[in-house]
Amino acid sequence: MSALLEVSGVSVRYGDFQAVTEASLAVEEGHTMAIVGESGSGKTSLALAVARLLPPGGEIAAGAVRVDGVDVTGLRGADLRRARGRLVGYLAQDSMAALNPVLPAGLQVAEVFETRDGVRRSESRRQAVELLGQVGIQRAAEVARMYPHELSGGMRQRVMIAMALALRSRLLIADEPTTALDVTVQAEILALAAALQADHGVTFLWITHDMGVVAEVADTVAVMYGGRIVEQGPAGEVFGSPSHPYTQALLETVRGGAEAAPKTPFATIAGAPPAGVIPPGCPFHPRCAHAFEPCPEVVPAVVEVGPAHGAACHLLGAGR
Amino acid sequence: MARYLIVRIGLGLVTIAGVVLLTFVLQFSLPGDPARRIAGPRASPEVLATVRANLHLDDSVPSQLVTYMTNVAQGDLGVSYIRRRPVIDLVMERLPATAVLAFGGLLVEVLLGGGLGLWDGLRRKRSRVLAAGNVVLLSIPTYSLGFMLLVVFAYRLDLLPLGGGTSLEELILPALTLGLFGVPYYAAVVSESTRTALSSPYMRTAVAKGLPRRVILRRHVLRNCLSPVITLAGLDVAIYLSGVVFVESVFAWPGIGQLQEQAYNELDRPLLMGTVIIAAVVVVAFNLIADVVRVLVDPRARVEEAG
Amino acid sequence: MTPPIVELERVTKRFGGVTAVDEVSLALHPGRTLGVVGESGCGKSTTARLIVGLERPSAGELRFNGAPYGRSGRALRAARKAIGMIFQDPYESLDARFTVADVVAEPLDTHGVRRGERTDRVRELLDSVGMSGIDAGAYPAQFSGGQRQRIGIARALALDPELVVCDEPTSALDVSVQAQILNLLLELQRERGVGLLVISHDLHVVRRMSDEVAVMYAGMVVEQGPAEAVTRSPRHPYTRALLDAIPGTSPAERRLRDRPRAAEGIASAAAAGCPYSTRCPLATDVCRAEKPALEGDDHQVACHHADVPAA
Repeated sequence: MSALLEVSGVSVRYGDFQAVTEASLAVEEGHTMAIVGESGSGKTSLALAVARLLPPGGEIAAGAVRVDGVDVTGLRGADLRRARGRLVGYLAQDSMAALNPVLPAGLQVAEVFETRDGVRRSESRRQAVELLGQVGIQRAAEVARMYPHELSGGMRQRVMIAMALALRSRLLIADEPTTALDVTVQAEILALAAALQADHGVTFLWITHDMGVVAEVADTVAVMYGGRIVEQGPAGEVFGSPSHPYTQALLETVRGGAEAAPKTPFATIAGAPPAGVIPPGCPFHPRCAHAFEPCPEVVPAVVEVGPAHGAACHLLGAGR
Repeated sequence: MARYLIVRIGLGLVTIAGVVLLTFVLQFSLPGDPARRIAGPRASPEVLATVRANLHLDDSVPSQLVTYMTNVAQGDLGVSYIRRRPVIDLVMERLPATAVLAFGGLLVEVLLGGGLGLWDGLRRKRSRVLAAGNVVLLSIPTYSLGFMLLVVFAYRLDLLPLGGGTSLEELILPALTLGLFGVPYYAAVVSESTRTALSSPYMRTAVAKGLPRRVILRRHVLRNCLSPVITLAGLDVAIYLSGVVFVESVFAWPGIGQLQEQAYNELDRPLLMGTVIIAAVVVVAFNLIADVVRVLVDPRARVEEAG
Repeated sequence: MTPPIVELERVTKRFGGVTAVDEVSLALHPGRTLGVVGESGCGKSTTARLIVGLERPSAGELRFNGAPYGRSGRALRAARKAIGMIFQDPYESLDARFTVADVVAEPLDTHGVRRGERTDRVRELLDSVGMSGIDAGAYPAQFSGGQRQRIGIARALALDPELVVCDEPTSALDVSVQAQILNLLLELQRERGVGLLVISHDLHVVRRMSDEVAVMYAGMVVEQGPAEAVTRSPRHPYTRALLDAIPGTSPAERRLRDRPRAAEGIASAAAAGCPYSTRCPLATDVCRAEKPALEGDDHQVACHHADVPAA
């Protein structure tokens, strides 16, 4: 059985700058894959590429994206428009900017029904209000009439989720949807997402920089650094046996948090994520405590370290 | 909202009062003795004295001002020296013609200007042709443009009448002249709003929803352009309804502007003052209406206005 | 314990009809760190600005080394010299038109330090924040977020402050860089004995950085005490809610899936009484009527139902 989402060797470029290099992953239906990385990791560009929402100037320079068996990489015009929403939905990070400020929240959900099902205005409004209720908004009818700037961040994000649900997309790309939210609101949204997956079988591609969020939502994880996927596998495996030095370091910074005594130094990774220029060879080598000869020159190949679990690191090569 | 309206209306009344005051003061700079203009050049001193008494011209200036302002507040703008009819009647007679012209001009500039702006906004790069055209339109004086159109279309090509009446045919050229002036402003504003809308994050959401282009354009682009267009239109309506002297005179359009011009030429003091005051009232009223409409259309404006 | 550098006594700040800071009392001691944690709108940033003198209090008193300074000119100037501030956004808080040297030296210039000493002092400060090799004539835009934050720290240290206020010092930074900045702050405190005020929405960061922790909600301090006590054994329902909301550290230790899902309503301000009563599962009539005061010895809490375990 082929996966719902198959990304094969995708590279994303903005002019001369390569944001993503040869990314490959697969997500099964009804599962959640988390793509985790910091700034410059390419996770957002990869998400936009899969959603076919790259801004002008960005292009999928290589590889292919298949959703539910359909190759969406080269779709154009009316075909692309039909594929949107139906195949791939996109949940943005900044809900304030992502909602039209002059339209009521309910209308922005209702128009999905109008467009796709050709439903009349009164019916689409009713369905929208019902959906807003399902995503946990109290007094949904009232909220539907309100404008985005009148709603809190958490409410806006719920409206975005309602829009995504209305689309009934096969795949939902959640691009850091909780990053800008308070931690208690984030917890609500994560619980909501879990419930939606349980009730409706939604497939998520979840982009985040927060390993805690990954722990909560992910069935599978892809760790990105400098435009490449450096480790990938089932969440339990990646957390339990992290094989790439970057993954190990990331987990250290998170884990240390809960247990360590106050005013003891935090675990850290020296240096900073690449901005602009990506180092040759393994992108992580300048910051890696274990870097040795091949690292600055040769891009490491993916090595299988467990069932469906791979990492791209020279340390894992044959003979180690 | 109610508080906002009350404050605005109050400010509007203060503005109008200021205009009345200023107009009153400025009238003394006009040449000519009112009494003589009414009574005629051959009138005897007794007749002149009577006229002066009737018009309160020998009262002190402050007392004349009070009389005048009281009259204005009651809608009495005086009697025209030359036409010997109440100013307010003369102006109201002409209002429909001016209104028709105003509407025509507005139609031209919103549709043509807005249309060009939308076209430009949807292009990848701004149109240089449009930009150049805008500069040209902004630079030509009204009467020159009016005369040129008149000469070309009415005189040389004989396509349209030379004017004087208010038929639809006769409306075309003056409305065009009036409207062409506004086209650069509307084109610029709509082009800018369109570009902003297209590059905004909510545009990406709309596209991601798979909405048809038509819906995106109508609901997500045009709606966001409405606010600045309404502001401009409000200002324009105000200005047009107060009488556009140049256009009306070039095309002999029988509106308030033409009346104003005649009043000036004839040194008809009450008529001149009256038209100015009516213009002020119209401008204030329509600015207020435009602001109210804008608040209704753009929900964000409600928050700003509420403070 | 040594006397506090800065003390807040029932400080209140109102903006129009909104009370951003509501009778807050805090104390900052040399060599010790107070962590203030709360979510958006709780008033923690306004409190920081009050301490640094960027805002004047509407009521209550701020004291610097015993002397009131919230409103008066001279005392304020003295306090400002001794208090440094680090801001959240390293991209916005450094003037892009100033060179790094200018940024760091600005406090020196303002307080009349001689030109001759300026260069040396700038070099010294940059060394102390781990930016030894850089070109001080470069512009902030040429540096990464973490480096810019270090420059901001150097600036905050320019006048050898007794207290450094850090308003979300790492929120805008990448995860792998955050730890570097926090370690730097810990080190600087060890070396110089400065007091630290660390404001964050991240409970773990606050716990590890602080000796004492204050939890703020809607302008009020709802719980206050030793860092371990407050963050491990919270007494206030809101602090508990914050702890419950923290994601697990691995898929095996998920915490959020089965939490009771509350529907979210349009936020309405509680007219009187405890501001948390609109969201609190333990709220009763007394909560809605009467605002609770902070009570306790070491570990204080403002709640009518403190220590009651949630159902």
